[in-house]
Amino acid sequence: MSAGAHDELRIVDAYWAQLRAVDARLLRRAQARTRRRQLGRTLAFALLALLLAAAAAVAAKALFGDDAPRSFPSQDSTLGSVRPGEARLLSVRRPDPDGGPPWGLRVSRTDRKQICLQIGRVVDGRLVAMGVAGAFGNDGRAHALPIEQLSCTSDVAGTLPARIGMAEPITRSGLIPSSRLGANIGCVGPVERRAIVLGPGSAREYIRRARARGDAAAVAEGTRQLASAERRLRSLPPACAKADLRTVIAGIAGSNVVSVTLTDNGVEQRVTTKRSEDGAYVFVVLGHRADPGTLTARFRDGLTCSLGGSYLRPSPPPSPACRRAFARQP
Amino acid sequence: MAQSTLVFFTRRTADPEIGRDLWAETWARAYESRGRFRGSTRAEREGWVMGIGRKVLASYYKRGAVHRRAMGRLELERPSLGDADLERLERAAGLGELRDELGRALADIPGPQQEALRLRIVDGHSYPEVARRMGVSEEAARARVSRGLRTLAGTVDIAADDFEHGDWT
Repeated sequence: MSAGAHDELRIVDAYWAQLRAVDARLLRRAQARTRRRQLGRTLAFALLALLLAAAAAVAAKALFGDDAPRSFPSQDSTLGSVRPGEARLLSVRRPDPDGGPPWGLRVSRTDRKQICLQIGRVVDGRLVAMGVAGAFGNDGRAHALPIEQLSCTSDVAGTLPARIGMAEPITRSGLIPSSRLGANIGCVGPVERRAIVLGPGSAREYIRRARARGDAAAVAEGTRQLASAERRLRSLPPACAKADLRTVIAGIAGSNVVSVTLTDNGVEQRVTTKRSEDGAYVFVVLGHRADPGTLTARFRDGLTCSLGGSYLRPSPPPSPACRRAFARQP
Repeated sequence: MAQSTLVFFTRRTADPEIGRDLWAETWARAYESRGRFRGSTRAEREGWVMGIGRKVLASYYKRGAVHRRAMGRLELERPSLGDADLERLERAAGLGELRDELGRALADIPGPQQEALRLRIVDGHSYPEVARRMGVSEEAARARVSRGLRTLAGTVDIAADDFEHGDWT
């Protein structure tokens, strides 16, 4: 009833070739759009996207070059590796609701032309995670964070044409719940905990289906996944108490932005931004929040622009005047 | 997985060409929305693509036509189905046995759909010929076939498990 796996259908290869051609065509179009945007700065920014942030090449270069924790391992990912000397801790700081070291931002550039933000707590000029909320055995000490590309945007042709922003769930220690630091994480948030608990079941179902269709390679892959999922489940960290969870809202608003304000349940927090750091800002709110309030950026000419709702899908979208204001920053 | 999904659609429509169209539209939609895929394992990828495929199939059952919107947006051509592919696909989907099973099950469905299915699936006539013999438009003939297939989906689905878990990868 069924044909063998070696009995290839030519139609599949033919259609795949078409899809690859589409992929290449769309990539070329995207690159052309980026070039037009950089050269003429006439196109409005690519709408919606992330937070307020925007920055340009000249100012962006000032962000790099002196922090450079070269001894840290760089995350190996599709985003590339951070080049030596191209990571810098910015000066912006926000206090934690429970006190202790403030929160800060590190910007890095990768060899795949990505500009990335990383958040953490700051001690002695270094981005660290604290030994609290179960992390690092609650030793209370500061632990330097390796460079990780948490939120990135393309840096085509050496400029920084796009905006960077994020609303990241994180633990009070300064570790993201899915951190590579594994056992040191201390506690995990509800989303990560659910994924770990359901992991072995998913892997078993995968193996069952692979066996049913006689796919030995997939069975082997599933078996590895199962072993890994069971290991993670055996060492499942405890669920974080709400008091140990934070949502950090951070980004680069652009050098023409003088301040960024977060309004959350009627309470305002304001960051005065620096031109030399492309309007970098950071806010920290208690708990794991999908919708952590409204951000408002104030430009030097008095224009104010707000974004509410989910930052990945701002509602309503920024007005044309605001999009132009973000796009025209030097 | 690309081949198994093609067999899946062929089986559920008892028609390699309709199956080809549904298959191509499914992968075009999957390509367009690949940024929304949040899984990491092969099983999750398969499940995600099949979720798209089932929606495309449901739309076909409901409307009697394949809407190639994603293919149009991406400027994708409908890939041609050569004789060798056609033969392999019919064999992989077990269309011979399926036609026999469908023929036996036809008594359970309404008259117009039964006639359309018999002409198209069991006797193998083209859609224009089915339309001519039934005295309706080609569009109406297609709709009767697709709705008849939906009515018989239980017959198709039960037997389909055999090849879905077969050695097509």
